[in-house]
Amino acid sequence: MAARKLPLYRHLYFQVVCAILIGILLGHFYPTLAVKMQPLGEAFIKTIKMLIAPIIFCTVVHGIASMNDMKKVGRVGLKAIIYFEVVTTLALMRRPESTARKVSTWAGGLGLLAFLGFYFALPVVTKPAALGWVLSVLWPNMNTLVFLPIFGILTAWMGTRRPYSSYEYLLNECYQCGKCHTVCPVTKVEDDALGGLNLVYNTFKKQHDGVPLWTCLACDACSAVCPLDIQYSDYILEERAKVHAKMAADGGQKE
Amino acid sequence: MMDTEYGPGRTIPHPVMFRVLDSEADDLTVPEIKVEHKSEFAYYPGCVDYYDVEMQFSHMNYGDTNHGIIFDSSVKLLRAVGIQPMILDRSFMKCCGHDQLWQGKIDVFERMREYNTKIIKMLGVKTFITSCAEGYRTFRLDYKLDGVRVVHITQFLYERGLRIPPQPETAKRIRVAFQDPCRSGRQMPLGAVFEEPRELIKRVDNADLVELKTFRADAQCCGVAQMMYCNDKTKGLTRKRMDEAVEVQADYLLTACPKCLTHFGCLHHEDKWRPGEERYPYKVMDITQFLAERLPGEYPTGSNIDAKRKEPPLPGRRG
Repeated sequence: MAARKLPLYRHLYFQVVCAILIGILLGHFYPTLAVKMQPLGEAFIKTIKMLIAPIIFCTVVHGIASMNDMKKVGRVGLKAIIYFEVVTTLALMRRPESTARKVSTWAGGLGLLAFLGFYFALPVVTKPAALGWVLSVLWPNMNTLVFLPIFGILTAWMGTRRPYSSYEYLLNECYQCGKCHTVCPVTKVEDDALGGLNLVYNTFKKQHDGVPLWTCLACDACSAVCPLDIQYSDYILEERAKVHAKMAADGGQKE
Repeated sequence: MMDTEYGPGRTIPHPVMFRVLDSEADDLTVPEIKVEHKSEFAYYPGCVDYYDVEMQFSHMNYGDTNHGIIFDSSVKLLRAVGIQPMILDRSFMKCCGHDQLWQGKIDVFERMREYNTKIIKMLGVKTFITSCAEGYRTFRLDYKLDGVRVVHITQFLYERGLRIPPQPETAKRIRVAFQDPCRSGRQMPLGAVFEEPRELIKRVDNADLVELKTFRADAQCCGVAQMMYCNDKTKGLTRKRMDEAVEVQADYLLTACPKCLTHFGCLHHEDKWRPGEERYPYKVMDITQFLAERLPGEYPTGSNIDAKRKEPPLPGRRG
């Protein structure tokens, strides 16, 4: 099928390059106008993001459907699964946790999509007799294979959860022996912090408005006596960093 | 307490000092580095100069607390044990980032860490000596300085066998109390600095070491950490700690952390408004100053120090 020769300006690539150039010129000569155009760009990006998942799904289905050689299909499926496992493992090795979670979730989702596309496309595009070795391999292990991506996602998720060392777990394990209350210097002078245990625990249990999170000296007197060895100052570090990251994302500290 | 969308009172008004330090961290270009004595032993004085300026600027206690002398004393002590340290000056080093880290400004801290690590590696430092407890904790725990040994100056002086010569016959016996900074003691799982300062104090022959009510790993905080607040509550904590030194009738209250010195010095200065009825009849100083005063010889000159200076800088505004 010979495509009709299109003039240059009808090509999508050319149009994109032109748009980029116009954007650059606009930003250079009329910066205020360019900033006002921001919603347009954002809407465009969001539209693309919305379309990513269906596009990948359709691409995979189309790709498999247009393949002639069934062995190739089997190899592609295997490659998808291996890719997914490798990416998940890499994600697990990566710190910080939030990144690992994000990567593993994305990899899992994409792997699942690819696998489902593969799974649904296979019987449609092939004659039942020509399924050949692919189904004979897949059939006995079908349950495992269908649930493999989901198992993978769950394993990655639980691996990154680290439940036995997280602060939620440790702080909930606290059996309120009160040693930390005895040594916490701030609870002796701060009205907000009276009652309860040390400042960090009270903050965690939401027994006050959160101000003592900043009043805490991080002197670690509570951790030094804690029989459960809860590292309160590390918790303080994380919480403060979270608040500051949120502030920075919102455009810095208000004067 | 004002309400913000992050919870009540969650925005902290930072003093000018932190704005300066934060903006300093943005510029990662390396300036021209001049060091007088190239050596594998490096001494990092920390932010002591900033504290002096901040103390005077905020009219807290100019005239009393002298942080600059920590630097001079440290260099004098290091020379006494035969080390000519390479001085990691603030002209090319940045703040260690301790306060920024504990105030939650992780991004600022990471920029400082990146820059300082680069400089330390570039200068080929093998032993990194600091006289600041917070700096000790930060460089040892929060930085990743592989192949560089980070020590507090008291540890270094102890292992190099600092000898304090006998004091004159006329010298009175003095009672010396030591405040354990939380950053170099309790918070260091390895290399906690408890024993070394006490051993060094015992080497001064007319000094009796007395322990405060809470000491070593149980030591109470001086009242303010990471320069977060200064209010009645924190003053109350500082006062509690200083009262403990009154109870044991100390003549000197020593500490190894410039921050502790700042806050003790602040309250000590306020105490002087009624002469004759001082609540705290003792001196507050850094342990390096205490030891260096008991060594013969002048304070160091040369290197990055003002060449014309023959004696320690006068405290406060005059210095």
